[in-house]
Amino acid sequence: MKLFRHIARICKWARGSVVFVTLISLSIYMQLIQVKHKQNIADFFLSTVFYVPQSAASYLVRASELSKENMELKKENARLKLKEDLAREYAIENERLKDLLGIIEQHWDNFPTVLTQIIGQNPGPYTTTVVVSRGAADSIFYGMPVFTTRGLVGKVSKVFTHHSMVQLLSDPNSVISVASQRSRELGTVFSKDNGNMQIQISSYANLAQGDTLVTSGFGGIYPKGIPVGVVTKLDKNNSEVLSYGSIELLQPVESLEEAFIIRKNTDWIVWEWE
Amino acid sequence: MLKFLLYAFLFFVAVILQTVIVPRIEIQGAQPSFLLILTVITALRHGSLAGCFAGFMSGLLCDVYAPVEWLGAFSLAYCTIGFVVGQIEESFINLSLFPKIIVLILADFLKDAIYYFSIGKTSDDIPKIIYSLTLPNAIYTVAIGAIFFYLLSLKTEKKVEMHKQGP
Repeated sequence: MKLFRHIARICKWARGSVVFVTLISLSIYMQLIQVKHKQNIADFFLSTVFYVPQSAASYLVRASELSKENMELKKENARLKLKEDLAREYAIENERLKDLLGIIEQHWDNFPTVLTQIIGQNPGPYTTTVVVSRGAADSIFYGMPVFTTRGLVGKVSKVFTHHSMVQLLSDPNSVISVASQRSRELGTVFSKDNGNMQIQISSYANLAQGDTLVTSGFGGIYPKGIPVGVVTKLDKNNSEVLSYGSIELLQPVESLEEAFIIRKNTDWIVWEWE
Repeated sequence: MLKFLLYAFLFFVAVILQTVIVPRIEIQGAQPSFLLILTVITALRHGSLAGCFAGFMSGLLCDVYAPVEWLGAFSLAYCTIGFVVGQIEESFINLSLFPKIIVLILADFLKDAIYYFSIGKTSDDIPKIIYSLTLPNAIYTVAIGAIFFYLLSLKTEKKVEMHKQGP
């Protein structure tokens, strides 16, 4: 009897070990395959298993907040209407002056925008991606910039029928071209370890702590002039060609609830695997 | 079959909690991991086979939202946790509340160590990241996990009492 119990235990252990080794091998295999296959696996799970529970839960949470938010938005709307009148005056004046100077520029506020809700985010230690409630059915395409009233959030990285994934600026794979609002010096902003945002700039550039950075318009994805962040620390090293600094995003990725998508197609793009 | 459906439902709930609720209840950047709690509970109650399967599914969930280059890293970490915790359960069958909490803390640290190693962090970076990210998350996870463990132990005690009283 004891022998049988031992054999049963060994069988159970062996079965567990076989499953464990299989699953571990599968995990390692997933790490080793090509990025496009990885993307296919991720897409499959995102568009099937995880979309429905996320949407349902997000809807429930948001419903309780909507009434309060509606009141605040009405107040905000009234205040903004007053500002809009003033802004319209400035815009007309600006256009007139530009006509006089012969400048033709394409600003981001020329493009139509669509409001979207954040319905999920990646559960890992770094927030690199969020899921938004607009998709191909709302004429959303790959590469469209996403922003809030505070500043730039990221870009649409994957589009499904009724939802899309947004690659945030904190994604280690995201690099954007920025300009200082004060001096117009150009630099690139990227995410370093632990989601800390960094700027890379020429050592001789006229950039100072506290400068606001906006998108430069280079790269073909983000239109010019969207606020990105503020320089919090600058390590200038004149013996090197490039210097680095830390920036604080104007729109922290942790507190995203709604965002706007700019319906602007990319001017040009280098596809990674096509 | 009923048990499987129950765990599938719990998994569904954990997904909702992890992806939608957790960002709203974070404290100073620290977030609890409901998926880890579910993996550890499954492994402690049903052994290494169920543990490593639940861990793999939880890991896959995290993987699909993480940068695609790192696909498989969370699966590897969670699956290992499920298996190792399951082995502990099989070796020390009656773990009381306090050892279970210790197991949960160790599981959190081990999970992150495997994960960061898998995504190519060096042995110099890993201790720093574990100190700054894993420690606060582990404390939060354990605080919530302890509540779940306590509720489960109450349920188990009730079952044992009913069993003692007989039909």
